[in-house]
Parts: sequence; C-alpha cells; structure tokens
Amino acid sequence: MNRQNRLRGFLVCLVGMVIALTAAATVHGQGADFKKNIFPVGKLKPTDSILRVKAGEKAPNFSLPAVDGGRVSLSQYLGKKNVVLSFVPAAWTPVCSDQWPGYQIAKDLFDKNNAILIGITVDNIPTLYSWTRQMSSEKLWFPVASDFYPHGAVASTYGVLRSDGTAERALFVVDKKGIIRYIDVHNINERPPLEDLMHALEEVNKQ
Amino acid sequence: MHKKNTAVILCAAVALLILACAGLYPRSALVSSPAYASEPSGTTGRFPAFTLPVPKSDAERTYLGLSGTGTFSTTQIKAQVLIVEAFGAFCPHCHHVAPYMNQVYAAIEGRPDLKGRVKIIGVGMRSSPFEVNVFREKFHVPFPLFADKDMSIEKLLSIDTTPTFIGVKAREDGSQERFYFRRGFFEDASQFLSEIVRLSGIAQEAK
Repeated sequence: MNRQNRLRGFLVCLVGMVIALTAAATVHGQGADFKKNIFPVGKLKPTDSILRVKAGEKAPNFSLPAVDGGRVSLSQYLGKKNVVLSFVPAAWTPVCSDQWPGYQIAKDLFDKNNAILIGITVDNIPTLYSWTRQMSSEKLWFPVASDFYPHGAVASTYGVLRSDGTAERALFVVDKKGIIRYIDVHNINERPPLEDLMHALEEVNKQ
Repeated sequence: MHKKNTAVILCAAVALLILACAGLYPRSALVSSPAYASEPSGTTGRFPAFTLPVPKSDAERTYLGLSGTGTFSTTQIKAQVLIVEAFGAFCPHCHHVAPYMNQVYAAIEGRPDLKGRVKIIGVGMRSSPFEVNVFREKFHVPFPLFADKDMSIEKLLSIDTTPTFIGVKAREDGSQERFYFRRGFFEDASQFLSEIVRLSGIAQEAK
C-alpha cells in the first residue's frame, strides 16, 4: 500500500516535470526575440587589418571546432568542393545577423556552383550555438566554426583579425585545389551582395 | 519510510520550481519585445508614392494592371487596397512570414469580393534584384517583388524594421492613404487579412 503511494507520488512528479520541461522548450524554441537581442554596434571603421594572403596562393589550412560538434577543416574539402570562407565580425551584431540567414536560403546556388560554405567567427561555441539556432527554423546547411581559442588564430593567419579582436566581414573563395581565387574584405558596415560572390564562384567553375 | 516521503516532496518541489520558471519566460519575452512580436498599429496618414520598375513577367504586369516597360508609380497600381510588405531578402523574420504572406495572397485571390480589388507587393529593403529573386524562388512568392538596394524607399516609408506591413487605400483624388502599419511578422494569415479588410473599409463599400 505504502509502496503504491510512493510509486504514485513519483509518477505524478515525473509527469509534472515532463510538462514543465516541454513548456520551457516551447518558449525557447521561438525566435521572436531575435532582433531585439542584436547589439547595436554603430558605424565602424570599414576595414581594420592587413591581408596576409593573396588570390592565387594556397589557402592556409585550419581545423576549428564546429557548432555541431567535431571539427571542420579546409583540407577535408580538398579535391571535392569549392569552399567559401565567410568570416563575420561577431555573433549578435547587426549586419552579420542577416548575412548567414541569406546564405541559408541560397543553398541551391552554392550547390549549383559545387561549393560549400564555412562560416567562421571568433566567438565561442555556446555563443555561436545560441546565435545560429535563431537564424532559421531549419538547421543551417553549412558548418559554423569557432575561431575562439587561441583567439582569432585563423583570422589572424588570413590577415582579417581587426585590432579590437573581432574579424573582418571577409569572403574567400578557395577552389578544389586549395588555391585562393577570390577575396572580398568587405566594408564591415555593409553586407556583401550575393551576386558578387556567385559571380566569383561561376568564374572559378569556368576553369 | 520518512525518508521516502521526503524524497517525494523534494521531487514535487523541483517540478514546481521548473514550472514556475517556465511560466516566467513567456511573460518576460512579451514585455521586452513589443515591437517585434506582432504589433499592428492603426496610424493613418498620407502614403507617399514611389516609382518601381515595370515587372518583366506578363502575369505580374497583368496583376498590377500595368503595361509597357520602364517605371511606374505606385499610384498606377490597379487596386482599391494595396498591401506593401517591406521585407529583407536575407532577414530571418521575413523568411518566417513568407509562407503566411503566400496564404494571404491565396485567400484574397480566392475571395470574389476581394480579388482584383486588394493587391500585394513586396519591396526588398537593402536587397539587390538578385537577392530578391533568391527570396522569390525559395519561398515561391506569387505576388510581385521589387528591390530597394539604395534604401530610397526604406527612407521614404520610414521603415526601421523588417518585415513591416503597410495597408494603403486609394483616395478618390488619385492620392493614397495609409490606414495600416505593422512592424514584425504574423502567423495567422486570416486574422491579418481580416484586419486589412476591416480597417480599409473595403467590405462595406462592396455592399
């Protein structure tokens, strides 16, 4: 009898917990607050670093932890796909928060150009996790890598680490042979037009 | 025995605590983000006309009641009520609302009392024609979309967030009046359309 009561008690609170956790999860799953969480950075110096690589050179390899777990490296795509490296300054900042969601809906264009995208920021994994999760109702189709520690090491190798420790808004196209074919260190305050990147990819595929 | 009862009580307490926390989240989310959740505002006033390129598609020209090439003024659109969606091709909230806007379009076209009298256009803030096209294809948008790369329409209409929805009514003198202004996405297409119909007064006029 006592045993039954205990069991009943346990079941009741188990059900309670499940309901509570489900409610909490539903609330967190909504992205309605995405925009209000964006930090207003104001107008910044358009570029603030000196490139250390050139088009025509071999792209420096890297291996960085990815938001989805595991690591992402440039060399894993060697001989398989063109790679677009998209450095953005920081999570939760205005222009960046629109740039990758745009790439998210342009997957077909990347596919058509036989290209993969690797998104890189100097933020840590938990920050990138929260930020990228709110970009789309679907899972992002491209890997997002964290260049957090040692801080901005990859950005620094490419010469796109700004003096305040953020990265430039920079795009690199690396072909299947691992050669850099296109560089756009963009004005940090503006989003690079998608057509420019697609044009660069088409040029790479022509040869 | 006593110990076991304590365990049950503890367990229940934890469940209650989780429930309480879950209950707090939605409240704080609503309080802190009034501008972005879904907020219609009935501000009325003059709607400034602007020019757009005549669509290349025959179907879109017919829909808008236009002919020829070049540019046209929004006052030339053949409609008693015009819904203008100020969106960003790369903005996640605009991606989110896209299927609901398609529902609004379908609902209008399916209602004999509204078809031909209520029209929709979308204007892509800070988006290039190429990017607007990516958006159109990704979300199968059935109504005409235009680009506002140089931000001139954004400034003219005082758009500070996307998506923003503006309801416009034709006056007898040929000018246009704004009767609806809403910042942020919605998820109930029929409610949105009812608001437009009610606030525009178009339903009464039909009788």
